[in-house]
Amino acid sequence: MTEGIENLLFMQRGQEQPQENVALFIDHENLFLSGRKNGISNGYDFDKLIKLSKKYGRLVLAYVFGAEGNKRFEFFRLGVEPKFTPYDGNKSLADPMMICEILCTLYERPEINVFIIATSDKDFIPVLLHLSKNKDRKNVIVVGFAETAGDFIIEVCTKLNFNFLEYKNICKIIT
Amino acid sequence: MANLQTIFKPKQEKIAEFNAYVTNSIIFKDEKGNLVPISKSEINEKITQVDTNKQFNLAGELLESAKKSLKGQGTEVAEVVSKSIRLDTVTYLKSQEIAHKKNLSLSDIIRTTSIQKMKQKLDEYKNEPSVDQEKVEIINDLLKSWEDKNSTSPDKEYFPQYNCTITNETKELLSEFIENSILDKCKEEGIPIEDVRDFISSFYVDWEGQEIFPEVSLSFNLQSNLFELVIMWPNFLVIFHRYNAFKENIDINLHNKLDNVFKLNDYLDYNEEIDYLNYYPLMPNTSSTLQIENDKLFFDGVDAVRRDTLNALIYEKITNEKYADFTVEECMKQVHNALANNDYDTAAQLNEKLARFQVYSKISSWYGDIIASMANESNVVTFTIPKLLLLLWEAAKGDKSIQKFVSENLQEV
Repeated sequence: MTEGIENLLFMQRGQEQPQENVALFIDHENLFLSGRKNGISNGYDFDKLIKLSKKYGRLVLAYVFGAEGNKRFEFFRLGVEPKFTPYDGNKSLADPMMICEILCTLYERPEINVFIIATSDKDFIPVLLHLSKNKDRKNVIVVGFAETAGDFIIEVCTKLNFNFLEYKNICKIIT
Repeated sequence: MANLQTIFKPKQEKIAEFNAYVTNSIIFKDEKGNLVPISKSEINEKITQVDTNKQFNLAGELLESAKKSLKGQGTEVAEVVSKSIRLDTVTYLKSQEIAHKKNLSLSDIIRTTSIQKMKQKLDEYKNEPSVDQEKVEIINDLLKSWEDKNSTSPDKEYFPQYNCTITNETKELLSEFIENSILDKCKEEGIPIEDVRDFISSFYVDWEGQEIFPEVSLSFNLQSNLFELVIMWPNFLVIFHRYNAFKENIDINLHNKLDNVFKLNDYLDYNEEIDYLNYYPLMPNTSSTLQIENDKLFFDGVDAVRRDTLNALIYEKITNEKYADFTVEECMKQVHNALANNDYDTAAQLNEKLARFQVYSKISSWYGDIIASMANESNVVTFTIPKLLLLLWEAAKGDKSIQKFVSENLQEV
């Protein structure tokens, strides 16, 4: 049935080749823990995030923040660059580093017009607000777990005309 | 099997969108402005037809809609949006009451009370030949997940803050009220009020020219099943060094009594650097209950729109005196009689009574204005919902106003 739904949902797209340049940013720890809270034993499947990104256009860059050990190699194999995020055993700098990277991409890579930010963390709201103010209107998609993210981030996305995508439902349309 | 609506008025845009989604159609605006879903298989034919009729603008609109529908990423199933709705005070408080009794947030109340109507609406689309049943199934799945969504606690939400303005005239009235209360208390303690009367205005911070706001707070009491409304008067600040300077000028035996009036012994944590003391003891008790009955708001049992009764009740609350016991005409007659007898003391006393009545009546009216404005206010409730379900929610609402839809749903709880 899932395949049927997927066909149904994407049949309108025809054979058109996507034109947009897409950047993907993954807040690994947040997604992993949110996924666990939502009953997904392995947290989340980053392959699905990559497939989702490709639906929006050409995936030009993809970074993951907060991934450790072997996970980093798995990401690398799929073309997602793991970023080093210092961790003092108590607090990780993954969030501010990801925010910096989003901003660098915004200003240094003007050809990127789709930003996919995979997180359920409301700490990213300021960067969303910043992206919305950019003179080149960027298409921003936040992927996360609605229940963990809380209403605030979804409210902000709605107000800014960005899309918030529920990860659990992405699994239904991307196999 | 019900026949699906095939033409929609402009204000039924959301219902048309839902129909278009489940019937794999795009929306076409006819010459009258009505919305007509046309299936994707008919779209080319329609564009050719309007083009032949030289309706190029219309053809352009159709092409735009077709392009939009073809370009989608198909991620609408995963999209979650937030929806803000405005509810009048009665509906809002009803939702708050249910939310507190069920220990749910307001957004959960909107969610749980809407589901039944949404299911009924979706059922209308089942077994319809023109409807894509796989899409109905998708929406059904989303509805199930939304129904099973974990609830959030009402503690995470805030009660609305009602801010009310205060004019210079009201500031003066409130100051007069407090001065009168202090004088009454002095009288009780046996302090000659003539001395205090002359100095009283020098040892508190004058509200004039200051931005002050009385705070209105509302909460629900689970024990009494009633809302509690508290209107906090603005802070009345006593300037301590001026108060002490005044104290030096009166009989030493009265010092303790004066401190009792201001309950200074209670202010053990007095900070000399700040030099101000918050003066609460003589503030009137302004807490009251709010209740909803037959879609009307009752303030301590009095209908909030019946202003005369409401003002009288407030007068009694702040003065502890019966409103009906005082007749202005009668008192004025007594003043005139006293003057006729050259009894200036009695005339002055009666005149003070009249002045106080006027002040307290005006304060009651100001207080009544706040409550009446609350009854006429509206509040926003925001909830999150999958985007496709929002279309179903709008379709279930139909032509009803949001207000009516929510209110009806609440009644079924």
